[in-house]
Amino acid sequence: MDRRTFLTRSGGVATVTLLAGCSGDGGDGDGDGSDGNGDGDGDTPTATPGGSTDTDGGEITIGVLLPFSGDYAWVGANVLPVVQTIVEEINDEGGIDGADVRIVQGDTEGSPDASLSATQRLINVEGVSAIVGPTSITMSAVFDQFAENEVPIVTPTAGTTSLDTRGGEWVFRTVSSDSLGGRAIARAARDQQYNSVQDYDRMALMVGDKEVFQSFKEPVQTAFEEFGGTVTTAMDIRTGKASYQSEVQSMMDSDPQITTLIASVEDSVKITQAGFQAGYEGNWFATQDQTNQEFLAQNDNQVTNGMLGLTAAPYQAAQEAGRIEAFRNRMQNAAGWEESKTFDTNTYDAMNVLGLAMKQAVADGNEVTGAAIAEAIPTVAKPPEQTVTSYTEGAQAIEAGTDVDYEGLVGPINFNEYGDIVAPFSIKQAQDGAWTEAARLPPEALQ
Amino acid sequence: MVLDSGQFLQTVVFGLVEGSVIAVGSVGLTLSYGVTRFINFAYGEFLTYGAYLAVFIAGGLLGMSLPLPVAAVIAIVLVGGLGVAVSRVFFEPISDRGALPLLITSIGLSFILRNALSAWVGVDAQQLPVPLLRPLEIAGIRFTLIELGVFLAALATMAAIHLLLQRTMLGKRMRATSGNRSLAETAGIDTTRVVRQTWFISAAAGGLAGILYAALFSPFRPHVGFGYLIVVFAATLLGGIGRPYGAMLGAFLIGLAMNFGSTYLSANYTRAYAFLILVAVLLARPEGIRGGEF
Repeated sequence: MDRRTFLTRSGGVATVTLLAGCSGDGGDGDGDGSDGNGDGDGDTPTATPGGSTDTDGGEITIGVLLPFSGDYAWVGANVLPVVQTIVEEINDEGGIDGADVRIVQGDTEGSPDASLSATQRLINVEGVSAIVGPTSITMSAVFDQFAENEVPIVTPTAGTTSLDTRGGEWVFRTVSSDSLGGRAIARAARDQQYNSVQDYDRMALMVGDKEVFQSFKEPVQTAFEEFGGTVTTAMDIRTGKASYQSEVQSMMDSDPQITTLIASVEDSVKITQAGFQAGYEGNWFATQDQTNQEFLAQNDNQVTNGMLGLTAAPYQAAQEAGRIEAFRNRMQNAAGWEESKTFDTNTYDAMNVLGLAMKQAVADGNEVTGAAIAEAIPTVAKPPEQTVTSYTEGAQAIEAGTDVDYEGLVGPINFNEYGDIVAPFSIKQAQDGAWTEAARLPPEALQ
Repeated sequence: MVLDSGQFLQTVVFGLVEGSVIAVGSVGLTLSYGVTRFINFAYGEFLTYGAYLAVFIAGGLLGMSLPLPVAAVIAIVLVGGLGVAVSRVFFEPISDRGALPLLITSIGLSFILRNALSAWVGVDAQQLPVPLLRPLEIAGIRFTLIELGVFLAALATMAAIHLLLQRTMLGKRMRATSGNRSLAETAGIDTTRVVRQTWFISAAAGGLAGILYAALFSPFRPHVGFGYLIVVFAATLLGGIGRPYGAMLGAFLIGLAMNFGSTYLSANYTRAYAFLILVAVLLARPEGIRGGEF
């Protein structure tokens, strides 16, 4: 073998080896788990891995376990300001038994590996008493950590069906399960009264190959067939591809009237545009992930006009009482938000429940441990005691010795035995670069 | 499976269009390998910077908001300059230490360039300001004007590289330097200068490939070039690394293989088809399908 041939061979083999090691990362690995965002008064919480906290004038640490970098950084960016606002309220009210609440961020980067290390850091190093988060993307990777370490979580973001029968002891959520979201899409597509276009009979599904998307697939498919429709194809698509021409062609070959698209914003833009270019004449139905301004801004109006989308609807009682508007004004002042953000009201409810549960734990004569908070979470959220709608109102009632029932912005927040809530949905329709409400879908319509 | 001839031809068209993006990228990569003799892992970042600079120059960054073709030309020149700059700062000082330190440096440099871009413009998805067009349909084959434009731009680039190599003094010097650098120096060629000029052309081709990619496959993020590098590598190695004409041929074969695999096997493994071919070539014919030199 001459020198040139040798160089070519060895260089080629080295390239393949290196590429095999490097090409799969997708992201940049630039998140470092992020720093704490506390008030920096130098008083380190004396915490154990079990989450017990010395509240005697010290601090109680709460972890915010969400993606703050990577493709899903927007989730962390939507949730954190609301958490900070409620923590400020709690501390202004004198904290929990004299202890200020401190926030520590854990960056999941939207990846299971980073999520696990961020969770372990929050629990073992920061000694958090409770956690807000994570998202569906990383829930399975860290679920066992919460029970093992007795750290309760209230997640405003994880609709994954994998939680449907697993939560209720350590894990609670203030966002509807994808099981309900999937049924809502199926119901809205089948009945013109809920979509304002037509009764769709034939539906295709294009579903990203990650847990966060797969979680929706079975509920939509099953419910659509249960409601009398036909699913023409239920395709899994690889997330993050350069183009989806072949997938769209397969979808069109099945001749659907509407295609439910369960994928990231970026992939959804590519898929809908590929559909437009391939002459697809059916409609699209998007999940909460794409029913936002970001999706419309990245897309072309001629592609999105008429498209349907699903979002959580504001809780009617909260809307009529002006609480949602009050929350919007508050977030505009606190974070400069001009419009509502995905998961903002869910986070408001999650943090209020958490704050009141800590308050209740103290009122019950317990230390603010993870176990005591977990025990108090269902207590403060369930009727029939005095209804409260904010942390301050609830904390005062608890101090006065009253049992409270927190009623939130997304719904009455009555956790069932699995830590789930029931909330209404809103069906949106895109027109000229904006989503407008086509119909409301009350929980009863999903039966 | 019954082969539908319309679908078959359509897949050929998709494959050729994607192959043209790969061809521009792999020709650039293979040119720089020809004279530097190391595999540049930072090459993917030239694609990324090409796409991002075109978006931002066309979109008003740097105080300009220029028509896309003008923005693309400026972006290509800037990326060429970036190529020369990184070669002088990172690669020239260690050029006499063998291929391995250069290769490792290029991996490190790719991280630096990628993260610098993320820090500068964020990780939000970007798109080139190209209009969304309905495809034309000729004899049952659909293609958009953008796809046609990408194909023609790639063909023009191939022709330009061919003329450069065969008809210009620079091309002859490049071929001489690639064949035997010491001999070229002895013959009076300023090989350092040739290497820098090659870096410029190579990086500029990378920038153009990034822009063509972005025109076809928006939206994209800062890791787009690094992610696409495997496809470019596959084409380069398939053609025989260091051989521009082989790279062009390899690129179209990879483009066709990826699209045929997606259409007739499974659409979920598009890039895996490129990787499979790459491994098969290395096992069966490591010198690539096209022997010989420049």
